Amino acid sequence: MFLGIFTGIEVLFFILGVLTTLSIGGLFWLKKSHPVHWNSLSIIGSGLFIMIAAIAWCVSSVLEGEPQAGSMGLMVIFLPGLVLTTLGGRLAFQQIK
Amino acid sequence: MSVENAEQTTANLSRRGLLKFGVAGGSILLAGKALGAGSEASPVAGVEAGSASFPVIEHDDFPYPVNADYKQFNPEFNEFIQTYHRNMAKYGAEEPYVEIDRTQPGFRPFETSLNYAPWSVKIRNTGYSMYCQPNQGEYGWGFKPQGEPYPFESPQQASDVIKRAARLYGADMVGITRQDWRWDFAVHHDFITGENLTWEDDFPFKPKTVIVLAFEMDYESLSAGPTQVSSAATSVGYARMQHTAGMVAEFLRGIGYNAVASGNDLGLSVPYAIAAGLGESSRMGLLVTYKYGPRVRLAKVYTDLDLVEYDKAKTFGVRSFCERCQRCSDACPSKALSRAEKPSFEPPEGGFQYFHNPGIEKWYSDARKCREYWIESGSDCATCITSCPYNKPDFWQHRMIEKMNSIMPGPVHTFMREMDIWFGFGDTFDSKAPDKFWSREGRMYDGRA
Repeated sequence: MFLGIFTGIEVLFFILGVLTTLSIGGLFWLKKSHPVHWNSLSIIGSGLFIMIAAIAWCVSSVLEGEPQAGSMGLMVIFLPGLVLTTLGGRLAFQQIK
Repeated sequence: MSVENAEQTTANLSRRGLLKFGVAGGSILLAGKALGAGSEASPVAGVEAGSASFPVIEHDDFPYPVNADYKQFNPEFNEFIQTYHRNMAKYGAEEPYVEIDRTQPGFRPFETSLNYAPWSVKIRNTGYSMYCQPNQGEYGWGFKPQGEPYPFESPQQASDVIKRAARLYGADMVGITRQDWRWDFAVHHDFITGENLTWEDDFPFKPKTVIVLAFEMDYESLSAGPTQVSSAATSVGYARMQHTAGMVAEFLRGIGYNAVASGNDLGLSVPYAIAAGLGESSRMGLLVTYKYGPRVRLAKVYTDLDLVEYDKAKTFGVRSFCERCQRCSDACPSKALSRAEKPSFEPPEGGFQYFHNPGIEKWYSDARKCREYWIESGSDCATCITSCPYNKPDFWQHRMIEKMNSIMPGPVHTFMREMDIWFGFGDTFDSKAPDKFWSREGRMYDGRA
């Protein structure tokens, strides 16, 4: 897969680790640099968590040879995560204004 | 038949359907949470012991009720043997000639050979043991132990050594249980000679322990069912069984204990596997294991070594899930599987009674319908295994879902069954599956991927 050293699932979980670190870092930055309440942060955090879980599900499904499960994962898991993150983001934006 | 089945297994992915699905799913999850407060519907309720790791529960005794008047099964009534005799009388052959289109995917000559090759190897080594024929080749009774029995330091050491050896020899799962007359055959029937051998007069020793070995069958191969490609998963399983069980038996004889390897002969593999903690009983009558679901074949080794740490039977919510799921009985092309919600002690009235051993609480299937479909389809079918929601590749997300599933109450199981269909798992009669099995996409045979 990646330079012929790592398997697909190993690369996936490395990228998930990077995404999780960036998400947590982003939330801390938002809290420190802007007057954002915990409620909007927790909504954004939940949405990001769900989206990362959806990426894990989808890529794993493709790797195991079940692409339909991956597509369904995008619709059933990723979309609600995206909606939550958007709602949390709008809420945070209003608090910043 | 195949069109009807395809209709059953193909999800309708319209936008309206998807919306309903999302709303229904959310409602069921919420309802499930609310119901989860009461333990009545939980599959983990009402057990006698619970020390195993979440969500597996250990049982001190056999986990399903067995009537006091239960009788040992006579292998002469095995449907394989009955069909053999019927067909020999009617057609003069083990199976009647059935016209199969040998150009369709799954039945092309190289796919037929894929299935027949392991069968040939298996029959050369252990005869028709799959029809319960006793005392054949590696499963023979004439091998003697060498020297004095090795005194293990403890039962735990004996158990550890046997299991590690079995894994090295090729078993994917190993469990050890006490010999139990309920699961042994009443006699050992040779369907070719008509001879009946007995435990008392013919078997070389009094067995005390049964080592049960489970062998994974290939997921992609079974996904092509029912074809010769899916049947090959079964035949490879049988070929692996004899070598591994033969080596485990020889290993025990090498340290001074009597041992006889066994496939389908000597006793009932599924209850022995349940007692040895390898899995649970299911609607289709097959063992459902924690790691591979129903996608396993079973072999046994009978030995007189008894100073060994025995495994406990384990349950993890399969029976509760089977009550509501019924994917196997929906998918079964011969309609041989029970649709009763609850298991029972007797087979349904009016069905073929002879091949059952009533008195155990389980779902009874119609083995004659099942076997006749094998002949009709020119395959070993296995549609029930393919469609089972426990039949999944060994990936983290399925282990997570199964753990969640084990603690969820009944209504959620219906939702999980629907999710399984929507997510595209367990499709049968998929004409593209054989080519997917053969495809070189994503595969490198030189070891690089």
